[in-house]
Amino acid sequence: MTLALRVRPILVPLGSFGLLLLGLAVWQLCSGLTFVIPSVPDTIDAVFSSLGDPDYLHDLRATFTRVLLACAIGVTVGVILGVALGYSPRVRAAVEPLIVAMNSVPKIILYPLLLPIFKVGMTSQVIMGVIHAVFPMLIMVTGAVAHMPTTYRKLGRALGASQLQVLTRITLPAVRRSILTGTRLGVSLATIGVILAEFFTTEDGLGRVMKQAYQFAQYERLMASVLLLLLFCFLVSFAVWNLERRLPE
Amino acid sequence: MPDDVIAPRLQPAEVVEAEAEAAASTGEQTLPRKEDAPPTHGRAARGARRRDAGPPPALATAGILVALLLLWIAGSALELWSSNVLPPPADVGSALVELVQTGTFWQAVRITVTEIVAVFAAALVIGFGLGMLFWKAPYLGRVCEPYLVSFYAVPFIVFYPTMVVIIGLNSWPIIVLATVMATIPMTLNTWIGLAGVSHVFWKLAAVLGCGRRQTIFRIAIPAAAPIVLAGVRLALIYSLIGSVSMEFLLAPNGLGYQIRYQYELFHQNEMVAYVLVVFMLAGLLAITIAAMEGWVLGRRRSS
Repeated sequence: MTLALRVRPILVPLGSFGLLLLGLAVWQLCSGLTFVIPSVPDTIDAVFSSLGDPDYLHDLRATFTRVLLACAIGVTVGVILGVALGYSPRVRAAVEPLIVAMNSVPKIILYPLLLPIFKVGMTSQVIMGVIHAVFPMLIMVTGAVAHMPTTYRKLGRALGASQLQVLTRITLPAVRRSILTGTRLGVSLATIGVILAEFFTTEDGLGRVMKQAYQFAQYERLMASVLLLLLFCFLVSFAVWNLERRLPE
Repeated sequence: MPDDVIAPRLQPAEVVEAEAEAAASTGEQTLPRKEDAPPTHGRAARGARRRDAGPPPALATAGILVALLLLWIAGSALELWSSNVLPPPADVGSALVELVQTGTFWQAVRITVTEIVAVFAAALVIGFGLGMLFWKAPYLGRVCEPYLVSFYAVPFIVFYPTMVVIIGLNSWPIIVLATVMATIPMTLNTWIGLAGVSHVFWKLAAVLGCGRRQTIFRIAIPAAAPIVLAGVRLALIYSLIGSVSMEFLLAPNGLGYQIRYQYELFHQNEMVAYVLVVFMLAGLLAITIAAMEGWVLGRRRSS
């Protein structure tokens, strides 16, 4: 029964930071072994020189815009459809297995099916991001709404609340934890979806930068983009994860 | 004492459970738990599932699939979209029939399935081991937790080129990278599952005089089974997603590569046929894992 943590709370972030330093040290050691792993200083140099390059900033902005759009659409669609499915048990029973199965399909293989319709560009990449982001949100909100204690909605009706009031004052607050988790996964997955789509074929964006760096064997440039991407995803998921943890029961 | 056994880990546990739902489950096995006291969570979850059973919804699901197929047939026949966008089902069907008679097709299937099996097996073993380790050493676990939680977000695929240079141009780079992806949910769920086991069970084990091994295999693992199984399911999903998307974007063989190859040749029929094969594979895995879950949880109930 040694589950309880018997160290001071400050030691946890310190330990996490130590682990990061350890990871950097291992990376630096590995970079000596093979030419495909750039050294840490070279990569940091590449980060700064990339960020000083207007072309790179253009690519970064293009990707960022797509990711934001994909997140916004994915989260909205996921919450709306999730609440609708959660409210209607019959439809949910029939549709849910398909949604769960769709969630386990590698969605990037749908990209060549989208290309003839939407052509290479903003629309097809944003749709790819939305397809990646929407399923976790949909599954979680559906489950949370369906399993919400029925007394909540009954109480709402007893107090004479309108349908809209029940939705905004009762249902959405009751499932806010699921919405937050769905948002956190959605941001990451939308980023992955957009990057993978850009990696497959595109004119601009971070995915193209990475593919080009890979083809020209510019490994420190590749690593610099990977690092920026990691930093973005890490900061967003860490921030939302902390919000989730602070939600009262 | 009982309080600090349960309390410190409760919040993240729910986050990860929710995550398990996000990627895999239908929500029954975890959500009721939040309203219940921990010692009864297993029973409450199963009760909820049984109540939900009702008339077989599988029929309605099959109906939806048939309706989609009919829509596809009708749309193609009425030329609502051109065959460059989505070829008629008959063309795709005959392409599929021709494909299954070729060695290329079966070689691609063999490579992809081998990768999935290898990744899944490795993720189960490593993830379970790490989960046990983090459970036994909570400080280490807490230190690693932020990275584990946010590494869901990492497109590990970008390390493929590096891996190819280090390991070689074969299935191994895919297996290594997809294993990293699939191990994370397995680790988190094993850890959370074990940490969430009620202290009543540990006392029971002590009272009954269970040894170390008995406590783990006869008490801890069955008690944590629903959450650990959600991790197993996620590991399987990530094995499929990791393997096929890496094949699709970069690798020179496998089902994912065939989709890209047919796309580049403008063989729309064959491409859609291969996409359908991946869908079928995903459906097959979903059914397998659901059957396995039913079997394990059924045994757990009867024992």
